[in-house]
Amino acid sequence: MRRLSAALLLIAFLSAFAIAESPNPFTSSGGPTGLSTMPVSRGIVALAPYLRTMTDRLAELARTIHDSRSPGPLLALALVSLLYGIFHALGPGHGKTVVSTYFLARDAKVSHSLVAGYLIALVHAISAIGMVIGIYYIVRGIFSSTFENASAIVQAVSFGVITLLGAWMLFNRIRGKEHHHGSLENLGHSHGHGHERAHAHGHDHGPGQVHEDGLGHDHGPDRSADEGGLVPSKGIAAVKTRELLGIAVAAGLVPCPGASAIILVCLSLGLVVAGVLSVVMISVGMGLTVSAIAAIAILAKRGVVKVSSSGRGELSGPVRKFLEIAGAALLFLFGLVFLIVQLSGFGPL
Amino acid sequence: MTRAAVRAAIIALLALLPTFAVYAHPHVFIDCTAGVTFSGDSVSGLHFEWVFDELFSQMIVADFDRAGKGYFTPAEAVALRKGAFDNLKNYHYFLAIFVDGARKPLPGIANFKPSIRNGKLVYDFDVPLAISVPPSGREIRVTVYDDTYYTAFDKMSPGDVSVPEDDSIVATVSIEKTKAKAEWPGQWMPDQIVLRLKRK
Repeated sequence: MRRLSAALLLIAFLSAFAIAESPNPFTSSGGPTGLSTMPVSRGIVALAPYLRTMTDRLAELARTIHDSRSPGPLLALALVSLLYGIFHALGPGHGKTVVSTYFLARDAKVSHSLVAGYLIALVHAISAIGMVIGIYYIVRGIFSSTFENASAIVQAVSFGVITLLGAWMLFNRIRGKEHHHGSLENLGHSHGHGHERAHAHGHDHGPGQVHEDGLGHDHGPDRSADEGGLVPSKGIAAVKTRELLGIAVAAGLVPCPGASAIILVCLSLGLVVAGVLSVVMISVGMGLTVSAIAAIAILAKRGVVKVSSSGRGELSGPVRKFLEIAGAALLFLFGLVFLIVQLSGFGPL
Repeated sequence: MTRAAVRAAIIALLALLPTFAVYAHPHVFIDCTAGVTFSGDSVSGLHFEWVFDELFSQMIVADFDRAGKGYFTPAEAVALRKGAFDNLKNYHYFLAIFVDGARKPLPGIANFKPSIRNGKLVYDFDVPLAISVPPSGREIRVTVYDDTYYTAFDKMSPGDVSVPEDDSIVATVSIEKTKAKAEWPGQWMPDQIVLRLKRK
C-alpha cells in the first residue's frame, strides 16, 4: 500500500508538470508558477529550432497571403499549421496527461484515443477561434494581455472540469461497489468475478472475440456508452461518452498561445479565412499528437496487463480496482491542485 | 493486496510515462547578442539586444504599433514596455549573473528601447553593473535563459558578444555550459556567456 502511494505520488508530481500551459512571461502579470519552472529535456531543446522555423514560416505565409491573394500559400499555411500542431503538442498543456490518466482508469481501445484526439481538436479550434476573434473585436486595444487574462479564466474552468470529472469517476467507482451502476457495461465488470468477456457486447461480435484496437467499427463511444457496446476485456469500467467529452473540454478549452498568435496575426492583416484555417489545422495536428500519446498509454497498459497476468489478459480484482480508483483520484487531484494554484494566481482580476 | 498495488503502480507508471517525456515547449524565440562596457578598472554594464521571431514580432507589433507605421512612437514604446517587457522583472529578465561563481542580484534595467527592424521586434536594454576587476582577474558568467522555457534563446556563439578594446582590461569571451548540476537525467542545461577579465 505504501509503495503504491509512493508511486502514485510520484506520478501525480511528474504529471503536474506536464498539465498546464505556463503564462506568457512578456504579456501576463506576475511571475512563473512554481510548476512552470521545471527541468527542460534535451529532446525539446533539440526540437526548438524546428518549432522556430515553423512559427517563422507561419508568420511569413500570413504576410505572403496578404500580399499575393493567391491560393498557393494558403495550402502551404494549412500544411505548416498541421506540422506545427503535431510538433507543438509534444509539449505540456495539451491534455496528454489528462487523457492518458483517464484511459488508465478506463478500459479503452486504441480507437478511443483517436476519438479523444478529434474531440480535443474540435474543442480547441472552437475555443481558440471564439476567444481570439471575440477578444480581438471586443477589446480592439492591447490584445496580448487581455488574451492572457482571459486564458487564465478559461484555464481555471478547464481545471474545474478535470476536478469534477475525477470526482464523478471516483463517486461512480464507489457506488459501483453496491452494484448501482447507471450503465450496462459496468455491471459485473468492476468486481473481479472473472467473466469479463461473457457479455456487454452491443454489436455483432461473438462473445469470445477480443478486439485488438477497435478500429474500423461502426460505433463511436456514443453508442457504446449508452448501449453497453464496448468490450471491457480487462474488466475495467468502459469509456463513457460523457466522460470523453469532459476530457476533451478539459484538454482543448485553453487555446494554445501559438495558435492564438497566428490567428491574431492573420486578423491584423485582415485574413479571417486564413486565420481560421490555420487554427483548425493546428488543432488537428494537436489532436493527432494527443491521440498518438494516448494510444501509446493504452497499448503500454495493455502490454503490462498481458505480461503481469500470466497470459490471461485479465487483471485481478484488486489491481483493476486500484487502477480505476487511482486514475479517478489522480484526475481529481490534478484538477483541484491546479484549480487552487490558478485561482490564487489571479491577482487583480 | 500489496502485490496488486505494486502491479497497478507499474501499469500506471508505464502507461503515463509518454505523457511527461517532454516538459516544456517554447512559444517565443529570441536571437540574443550582448555587449560589455568598461569604465576604468571595472565592468560598468552589459548591453543586450533581443531580436524576436516573426510570429511574436507580428503579434506585439499588431498590439502596439496600432497604425502599422513600422516604428513605435514614444507613447507606444512606453505602452509596450508596460505591456510586454516590465513583467519580465518577475523572470529576472531571463538573466542570471555570476561573479567568480557567486550569483549577483540583478541591479535593474536601463535604457529599454523597443524597435522594429525588417519586420522583427527588437528589444535593446542595458544592465548597469559596477564590477571591479582586481589584478588577480575576474570571471563573469551570464546565463540568458527563461526558466519556464516559454521563451527559447537561440544558441549563442562567442561572436555574439562584443567586447571593446580597453586600456586597462583585457577580456576573453566563450560560451560554456552552466556549472549548475542537472536535477534530472536527460535535463538540458543552458549555456552561459563566460567573460574572463584581467588587468593589463
